[in-house]
Amino acid sequence: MAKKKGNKNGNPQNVKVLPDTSKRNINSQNLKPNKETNNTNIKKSILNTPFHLIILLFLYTTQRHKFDEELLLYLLIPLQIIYTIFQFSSNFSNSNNSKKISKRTINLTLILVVPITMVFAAIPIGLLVILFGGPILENYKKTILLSLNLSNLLLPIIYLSFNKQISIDIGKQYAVSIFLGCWLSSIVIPLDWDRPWQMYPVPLMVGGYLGSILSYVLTDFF
Amino acid sequence: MDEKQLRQQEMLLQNGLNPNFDGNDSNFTDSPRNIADNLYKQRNRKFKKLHILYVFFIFSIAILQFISIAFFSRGFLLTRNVLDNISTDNNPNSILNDKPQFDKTVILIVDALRFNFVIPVDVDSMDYNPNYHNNIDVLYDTFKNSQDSSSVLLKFIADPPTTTMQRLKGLTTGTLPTFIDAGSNFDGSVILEDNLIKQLYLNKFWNDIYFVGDDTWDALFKPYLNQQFSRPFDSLNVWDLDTVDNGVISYFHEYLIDQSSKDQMTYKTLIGHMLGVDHVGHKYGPNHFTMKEKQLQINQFLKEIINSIDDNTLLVVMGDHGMDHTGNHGGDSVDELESTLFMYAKKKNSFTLDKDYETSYNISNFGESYKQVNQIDLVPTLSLLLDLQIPFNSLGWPIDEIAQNSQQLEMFQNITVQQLHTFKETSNLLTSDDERNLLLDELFEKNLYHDYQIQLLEVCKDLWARFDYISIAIGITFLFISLVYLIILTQLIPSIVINKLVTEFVPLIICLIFILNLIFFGTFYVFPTSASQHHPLRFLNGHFIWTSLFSTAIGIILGIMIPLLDHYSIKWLICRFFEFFGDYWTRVAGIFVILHSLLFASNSFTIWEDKIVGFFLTSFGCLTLYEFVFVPKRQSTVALLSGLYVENKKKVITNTDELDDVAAELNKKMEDPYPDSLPLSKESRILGSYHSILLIILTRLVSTITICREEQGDFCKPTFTIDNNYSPYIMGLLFIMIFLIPSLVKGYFRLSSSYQGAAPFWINGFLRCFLLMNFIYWFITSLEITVPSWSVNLFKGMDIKTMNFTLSRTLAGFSLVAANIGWLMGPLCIELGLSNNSENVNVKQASVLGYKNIYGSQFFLLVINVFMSIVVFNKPLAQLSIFAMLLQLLTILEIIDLFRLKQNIIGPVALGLLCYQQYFTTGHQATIPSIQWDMGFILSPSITFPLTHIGLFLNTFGPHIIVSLSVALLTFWRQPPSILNPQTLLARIVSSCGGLAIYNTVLCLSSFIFVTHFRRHLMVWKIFCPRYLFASASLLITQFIVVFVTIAFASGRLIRQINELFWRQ
Repeated sequence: MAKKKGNKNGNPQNVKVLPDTSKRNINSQNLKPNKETNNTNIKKSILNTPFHLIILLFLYTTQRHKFDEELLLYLLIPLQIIYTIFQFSSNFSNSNNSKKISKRTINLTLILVVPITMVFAAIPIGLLVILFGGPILENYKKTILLSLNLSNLLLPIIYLSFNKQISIDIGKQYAVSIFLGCWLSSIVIPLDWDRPWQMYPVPLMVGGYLGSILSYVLTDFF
Repeated sequence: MDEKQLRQQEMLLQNGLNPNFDGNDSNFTDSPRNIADNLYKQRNRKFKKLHILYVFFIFSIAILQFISIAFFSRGFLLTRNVLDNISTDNNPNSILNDKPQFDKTVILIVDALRFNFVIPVDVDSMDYNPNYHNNIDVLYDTFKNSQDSSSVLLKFIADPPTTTMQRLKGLTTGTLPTFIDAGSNFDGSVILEDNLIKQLYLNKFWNDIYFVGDDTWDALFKPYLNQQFSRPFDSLNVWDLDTVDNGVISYFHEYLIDQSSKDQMTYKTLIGHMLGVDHVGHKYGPNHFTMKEKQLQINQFLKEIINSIDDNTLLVVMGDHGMDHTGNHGGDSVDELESTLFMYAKKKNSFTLDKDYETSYNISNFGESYKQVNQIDLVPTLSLLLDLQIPFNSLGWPIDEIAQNSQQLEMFQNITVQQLHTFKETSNLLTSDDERNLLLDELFEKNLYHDYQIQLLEVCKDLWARFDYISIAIGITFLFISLVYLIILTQLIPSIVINKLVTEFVPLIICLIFILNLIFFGTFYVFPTSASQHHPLRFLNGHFIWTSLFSTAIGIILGIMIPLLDHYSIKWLICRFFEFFGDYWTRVAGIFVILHSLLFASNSFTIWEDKIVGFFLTSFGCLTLYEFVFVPKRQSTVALLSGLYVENKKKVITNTDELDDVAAELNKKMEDPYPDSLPLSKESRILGSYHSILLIILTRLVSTITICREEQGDFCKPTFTIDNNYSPYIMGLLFIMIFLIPSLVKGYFRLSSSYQGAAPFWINGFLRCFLLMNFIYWFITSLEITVPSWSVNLFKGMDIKTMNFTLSRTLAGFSLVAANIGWLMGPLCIELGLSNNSENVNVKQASVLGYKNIYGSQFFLLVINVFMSIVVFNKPLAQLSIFAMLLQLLTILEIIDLFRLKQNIIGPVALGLLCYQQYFTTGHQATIPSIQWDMGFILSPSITFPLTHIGLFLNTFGPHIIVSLSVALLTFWRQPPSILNPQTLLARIVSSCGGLAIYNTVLCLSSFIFVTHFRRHLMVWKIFCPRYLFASASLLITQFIVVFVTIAFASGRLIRQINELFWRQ
C-alpha cells in the first residue's frame, strides 16, 4: 500500500530512504529530494523543533542514576499531543489536496484515538527490540515501556498520516531515523565502563529520542 | 580442423543451414553432429585448462596468506630462551650435604583439584553445591587437627596457561612456560631443561623414582623414571573417567598402602598423577553427580595413604590447576588458577605454621583470603625439604612453612637467592646498565632477598614477552597485499578479463618463485654472512624454512603485480575501487565487514562478539525485509544493471570468443535469463518478506544457545550446558527434526521445482535415515550421561556403549565417504515432465522439470553431505543450531537470488556473518578452553590419529566448512544451464569465493593489527591472542576448503557434468 501511495504522489525518488547507518545519508540523500520536489509542504519553521523532547531527554538523563521510563512515558503522551495540535500539524499541509486545510483545524476524535493505536504500534517495536537481541523474559517491563516510548515518538506523524495531511512515506523517514538512533546507540551496551546509562533500555531510549529530535529538526532545514 | 573453420560452421548451424551444402568448397564433410561434438570437446578442453589455472591462482593467494600468518605468528607468539645449565653438587654455593630430613617422598597430583573442593564450605552459602563441595574433607581435617604441625594446607596459584603440560613444566622446572609451549600439549617431548625430577634422579639418595598415572609424565621425564616399575596411562581420553584413577589406586595399594608393614619397598620417590576429577570436569562439568562420586573416591584414597605412610615419609598432595564453571581449563580465571597444595609428614614439627592462624588460614567465603603460594614456589620448597639442588632455571621462593625455625628459614632463603642470582648472572637477561638490573643488584646487596625474587620474576615475565617486530611487520604487510589482490582480482576487474589474465599470472608466479628462491637462498642460506649485522632481514640467515617461505611470498606478490600493472594503472584501480562502493548493497556489505573488523579494537566488543555478529545478521535481515516491503527505487540497487553492463562489455571485449557468444545468444532466446526482473512481482515480494522474517527469527532463536565466556560474567547465562544438552526437551526437539528438516529442505527445493530425480532419494531417504540414526546415537549417549550407571548388555560381551561406537562410525563413514562417492556419480535433480499443451489438447508438451535450478539443486546435495558429517560431531543443542543454519543458508540464497545480487559482495558477507554466528551458537567461543575436546572421542575411545582429529576439526570449524562450500551456491542457486558459458560461471564462483576470502582476510588483518597494538594489554593472552589465533585458523580453513573442495573439486565437476548434458546436443 505504501508503495502505491508513493508512486501516486509523484517523483519516486522522494521515497528513497536509506536504512543506512550514517546520519549523513539521511540528510544528503533522503531529505534533499524533498526540497526539490515538494509534494508535502512543510513550513520551515524553527518552531517545528520538538523542544519538549529535548527537555524530556534532559530530564531522563540527568535524574540521578534513575532512568525512569514510566515517568517519561506519562509526560511524553500529553506533550506529544500538545505539540501535534499547536505546532506540528499546522506546519504541514498536503499540496495534493487542492482544498487547503485551514491552519487550526484539528481532528479531535482522531487525536484521542491515536494514542490508543500507539499501543498497537508498540507491539512490533517491542518485537523488533527482542529480535535484535533484547532480553526476552527478564526485564520485560522495561521492554514494554521502551517500545511504548518509541511508538509515542511517532505520534504526530501517525496522526498526520491518518488525517491524510502527509503520505505514509514521509512518516517512514521518521520511523527509520528513530530506528537508526536505536541501532547506533546500542554500540555502548557491550562496553565495560560500568556506567548506569549502559544498562539495557537506557541507550535505546536515548538513541530513539535523539533520532526523533534529529528527524523533526532536519525537516526544518531540508 | 582449425578454430576458424569450426566457428564458421557453428555460425551456419545457427542460421539453420547445413554447412555441407553451403559454399562451393566440398571439404566440409562432417555431419552437424560431429561438428557439435568437436565444438564441445574444444570447449571442454578450454574449460579444463582455465579451471586448473584458476585453482592454482587462488591457491597461490592462499599460500601467500599462509606465509603471512606464519611470519606474524613467528614474531608474536613468544618463545623463551631455555638455558641448559644444570645445578650440580659441584656448585660452590652448595651447603646441602648432610642427610636429608625424610627417607621417602610420595607425591600425588590430583588433576584439576580446585581449592574450594578441599576446604569446608558453608552449606547455607548461595554458591554451595553438594556435587563438588565438602566431599574431600580429609586434607583440611588433617591440617586442622594436627596441632603438632605435621601438615600444611595452602592455596596454590598456577600461572596461566592452565593446560596440564604447561603446569607440569612449571611445577618441575620452577619457571614460566610461554604461550608457544601450549601448542605442544598433544606432542610432549622430554624436558631437557633442569628440573625437579632430574634433580631427584641425579641425587644418589632419591634416584629411584616410581611413577603411575598421566602418560604426559612419561613423555616429559622418561629418562628419569624407573621404567621397570612405572605405569603410565593414556591421559587425553577425557571420556574415560576411571582407568587412570583405578590404576593409580591399585598401584598405590600394591606399593604403598598394603605393604606399609613390610619394609621391602625399593623406591625412594613415588609419584602418582590422577586424572579423574579433570575428566569429569571436561565431560560433565563440576555440577554433576559423577563429580561427587569421584571426589568421595579420592577422599577415601587420600585417607588410606595418610594412614599408611611411615614416619619418615613426606607426602605431597597437589592439584596442577583448577577448573572453571564449565569444567574446562586453559585460561586464567580465578577458578582455573586456584589449586591446592598439601604437605604432610608423620614426624612432629615438620612444619611451622603462621602465628596468625585465623587470618592466614581463613576458610570463610570459599577460602577467598586463604594464604596462597605460587606454583613455581614448589620447586625450591621441595628441593630444600629433600636436600636437592634447586633447579637452575627456577624462579620460585621457598614457602615459609617448611622451615622449622627462623635460622633454617634464613638458610633456605640464602640458598635460594644464591641460585636466583647465579641464574640471573648466567642468563644475561639484562644488560649491566639496565635500570632493572641496577635495581636488582641493589636489592641483592641490601639483602632484601624476597623483594629480589619478586623483582626478578617480574623481569622474566616481562622479558619473555618480547616480540619480533620485523616478522610481525612482514606478516601484516603480506596479508595486506593479499587483501588488495583479492579485492582487485575478484571484485574490481571484470571476471572476463581475469579469464585472460590468469594465463599470464600462473606461469609467471611459478617462474618467479623459483628465481627468488635461488636468489634468497644464495643470500641468506648458502652465504649467510653476506647479509650485514644491521640488515633488516638478517633473521633469515641460515634458516631454511623461513628463507624459502619469504622468497615464495615475494614470488607470488611479484608474479601477480607485474601482469596487473601491465594492464591497469594504479589510478584506474583506485577510481574503480570507489566506483565499486557506489552500489548500495556493496556499501552495506562494506559497513558490516568494517564494523566486524573494528570489534577487535576493544576487549568488550571482542568479548561480546557472539551477540554482535547475531545483531549484524538480524540487521541484514531487516534491510532485506525493508527492501521487500517498501521497494525503494534505488537505481544502484539493481545489480541486474551491472550484470547487463558486464554482458555488454563482454561482447565488446571478447570478439575472439564468438563461439561462446553465439551459443549463448541462441540459448538466451530459448530461456529468458531474468523472467521477472526487478521491480519485483508481488508474489516474489511476499516470498522475499517471508524469507527475511524467517532469517531474522531463526537468527534470534539460535542466538539463545551460548556457552558464555568467563568475561561476560553475570550478563550471560550459559545455555549450552550438560543439563540442557541432554535434557528430554532437546531430545524431543531432535526427534521432531528428523521429520521437520527434510520436509523444510524439500520445500525449498520445490520452490524452484527441482525436487526431482535424485533429490527425493537424497533428502527423503539419506537425510532422514541419517537423522534418525543420529538421533538414536545421541539418545543413547544422553542416557549414558544423565542416568547413573546405565548400561544394557545387548549380546554377549557387547554392551550398548560398544554398539554406540559402531553407530557413530557408520554415521561418519556414510556421511564422509559413502555419500560423497554417491555425489560423484552426479545425481541430477531434473526430470522430464509431460504437460498438456494449452493450445492443442492432443499434443503433449515435454519440459525439463528442475531445469532452472539444475546447478544449485545438485550442488546443494553436496552441502547436505557435509552438513550430515558435521551434525554427528556436535552436541544436541549445537545440532539444533546447525539445523537452523541450513534454513538460514537457504533463506539467504533465496533473498540474494530475488534481488539478483548474485555477483554482489553482500552475498559472501552475509554467509560470512552466518558462519561466525553459527560458530558461537554451536557452543564455541574464541577461547582455548571452549574447544570441545570430548567430541574427539566420538569415533574412538582413545586417541587415534585421523579419527580424533577429524572429530575435533569438524566440531570446531563446522560452520566454516559449510559456508565455504556453499558460497558457490550464491552463483549456482537458480542458475539455469546454457546461459552463462562455463568459463564465466567459474569466474563468478571465484568472485564469490573471493568475497568470502576478503571478509575473512579483513578480520584476520584487523586481529593482527589490534593484537600487536594491545601486546602489553592486560587481556592480551586472554582475549586478543586467542581471537587472532581463531581468525588465522578461520582464514586458512576457509581458503583451504574454498580452493580444494569448492573450486577444484565440486564446481569443476558440476560444471563439466552439466555442460556435457546441455552443450553436447
